[in-house]
Amino acid sequence: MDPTLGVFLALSAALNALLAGVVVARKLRRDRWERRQLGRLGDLGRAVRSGGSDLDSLVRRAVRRRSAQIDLATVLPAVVRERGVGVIPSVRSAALRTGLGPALARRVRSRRPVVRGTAALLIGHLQLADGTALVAPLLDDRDSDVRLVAARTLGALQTPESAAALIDAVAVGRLMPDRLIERLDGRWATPVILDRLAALGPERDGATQAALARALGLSGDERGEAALLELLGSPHAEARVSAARALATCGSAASHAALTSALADASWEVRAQAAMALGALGVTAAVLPLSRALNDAAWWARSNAATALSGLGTAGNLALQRATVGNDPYAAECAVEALEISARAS
Amino acid sequence: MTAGRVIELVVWFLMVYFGILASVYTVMAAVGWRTVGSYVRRRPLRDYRGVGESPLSMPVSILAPAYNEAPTIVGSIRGLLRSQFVNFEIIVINDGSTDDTLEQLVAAFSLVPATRAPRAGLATAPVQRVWVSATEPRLTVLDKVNGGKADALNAGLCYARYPLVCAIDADTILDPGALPRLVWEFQSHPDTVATGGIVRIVNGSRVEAGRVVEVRTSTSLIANIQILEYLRAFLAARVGWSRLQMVLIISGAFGLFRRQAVIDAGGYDTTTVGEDAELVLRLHRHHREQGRPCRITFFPDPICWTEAPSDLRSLVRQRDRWQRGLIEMLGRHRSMIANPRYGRLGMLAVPYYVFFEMLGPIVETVGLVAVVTALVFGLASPTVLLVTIGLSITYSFVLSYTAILLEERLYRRAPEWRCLVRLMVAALAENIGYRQLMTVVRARAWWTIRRASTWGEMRRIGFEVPVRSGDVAA
Repeated sequence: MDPTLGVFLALSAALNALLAGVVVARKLRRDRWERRQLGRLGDLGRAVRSGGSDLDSLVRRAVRRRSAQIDLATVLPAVVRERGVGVIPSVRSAALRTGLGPALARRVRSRRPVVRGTAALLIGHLQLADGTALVAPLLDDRDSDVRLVAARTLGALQTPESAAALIDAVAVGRLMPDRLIERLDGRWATPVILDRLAALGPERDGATQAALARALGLSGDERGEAALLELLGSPHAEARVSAARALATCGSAASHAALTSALADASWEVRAQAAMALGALGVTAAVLPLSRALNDAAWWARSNAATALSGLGTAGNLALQRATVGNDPYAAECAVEALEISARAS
Repeated sequence: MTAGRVIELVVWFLMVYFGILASVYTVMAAVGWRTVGSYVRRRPLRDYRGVGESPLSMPVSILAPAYNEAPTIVGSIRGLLRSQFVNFEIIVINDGSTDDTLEQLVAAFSLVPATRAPRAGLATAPVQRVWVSATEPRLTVLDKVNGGKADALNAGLCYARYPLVCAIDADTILDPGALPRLVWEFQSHPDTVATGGIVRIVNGSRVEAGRVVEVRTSTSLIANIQILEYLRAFLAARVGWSRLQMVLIISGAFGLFRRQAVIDAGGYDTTTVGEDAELVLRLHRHHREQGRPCRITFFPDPICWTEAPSDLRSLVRQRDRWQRGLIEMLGRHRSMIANPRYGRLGMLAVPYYVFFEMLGPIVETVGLVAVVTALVFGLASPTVLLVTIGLSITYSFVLSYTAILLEERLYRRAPEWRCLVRLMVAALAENIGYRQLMTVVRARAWWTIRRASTWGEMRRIGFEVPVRSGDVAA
């Protein structure tokens, strides 16, 4: 054999063996890391549940090490889901005793996005007192992951200031409005939202009005009903659509008249949402206007009206049956379909 | 010029050609390694659970074209319905199946005929009937006259209600967390037009109730080689292309698109077998020509599982189809080649695909013939030739091991030692006959493309067969 070839083959074999060795070594390392990680998470979980003395030493690790912060950010929400928010104060106290709180405050100003994001995430999980002031500026961060973490954290903090920061960010536009609004999904944010809606006035900024109406709809808070009814008269169609939709969860029988009027709105999207909302409210007085809506020019409005009627009990079903033999073939089509689906589902 | 001189020139050309190709692969693998590292570090920050559960997340219409998918369709749809994402609908498009695909769906999901208005005017073969499920409100089935996969997808686009559409093959299984991850990409970057996830091979893994419950490699060598190929293609290449904003291919088996953007670009092209890649290139082109931003990415984490051909015949058909699709796509958009109007896409990505993916198999076949000729007739030094072959094999090892390491770093979904050993064996074995065969098959596509465009059929086994020796392959 040519000596050059021999050398090449030997080198080639050695390289292949080296690569195989790297793969095997990496796997062994990952296996070991995974075992240790499971052990660490288990210890931390037990300490968070018990709030015992070893909590301090475990939380202290997170002062310097990001991996330990990630562990805490993984374990704490899991234990909260299992045991409720009652476990948070003991962990927060441990964080303050061990210096984790100030460390996180420094880290939200780090140059590295991953470090900023992790710190912001943990601030939210620990619900630190000055969390809003620390995290709100990150809504304008240059890194999209950090902006999203900031929105999530402000939603978790559930303070009037954090709600105000999220609403302010809607107008700035660095995040899609829905990413901010979905973090306002609770009764805690309602007073701030209502204040903002009042301050906006009916004429201004339809996009923000619509976003805030969606937030009220998510919360299902009946305190929002009056403001939503007012928004149904907004000159902005998108605000009216969101208001009609939100009334399905926030509204009461008192919304019936306004929603019935909305069935005659110029926008078919408003009419379709109003029909759904009337169905969701379950007011039998809505049967007549919904029956009329079966003749709507827009397919979605007709279809939603039929679906709404099918949920309104005997009166709704009778109205659908009448429509099946009526003069309007389009209304009959929707009615037949709604009846069929209702029959199969039951 | 003597024959020996010709062979020498051919060998030199091949060395330069493969040198450039290896450089591109190396750059992409390096960029992929870095990107995967960044993704792994950022993963804890991303609230995929929140994306899946939020009623305000962008809703998705999943389009699943089905043609004679009776063995797998019900399991696949059940798997899809188990997604962790709440805001979605599934539109199964039964593209004139001749088996009992529709009957199986009707029975399994209590389908009833319904009226639905199409929301877009893309021309398709007639939709004969729309069915909705009485038990599962998120499921709609379109029963249409056969028109091919692209035509079925266009019909689905017309009936889709939501702003995002996820095109999948009806025989694929989505990980429950896959959709939130893809939707996250649209929600964090509003200029995203399309994004694709990784497609992995299910052969050998354990599937229960439409869900992959245990990831394993197969006992079939062909399947394992394909597992390795997919890992290499997605993790060591596509991640890199995505980082450089030059994604040209989103697999038809799993991609998420902005519905209006697809409709504005004219929908799927029904006259090509590579409609998925063609659409991506057209979206790039359309947006560039309109002066609009167009972010098309590949996201390495959301996983879609598909059954790989376990017999050689089906595999050859599949690869022939892929290559024909590529040739058709690049032929149609040839004006983009080296055209600065299309930026780095026109200057780098499209020329790369032309010279190395489209013409590569021909160059490789010429190389194979030259090597064999030179060896048989003693026209070149055996040492030089053997070193060339050795280099090529060694480099393929480097890429394969990189892909295995990336898998280990990113997913760690096949933790058993025997899986790792099987993949390492596949990395070795693919160099003995398999790669050469695939090269010839892909080169042959230049001839088969002259025939009518057909998909060919793949023998399906179904996911949920009793697993014996960890394999579904025959």
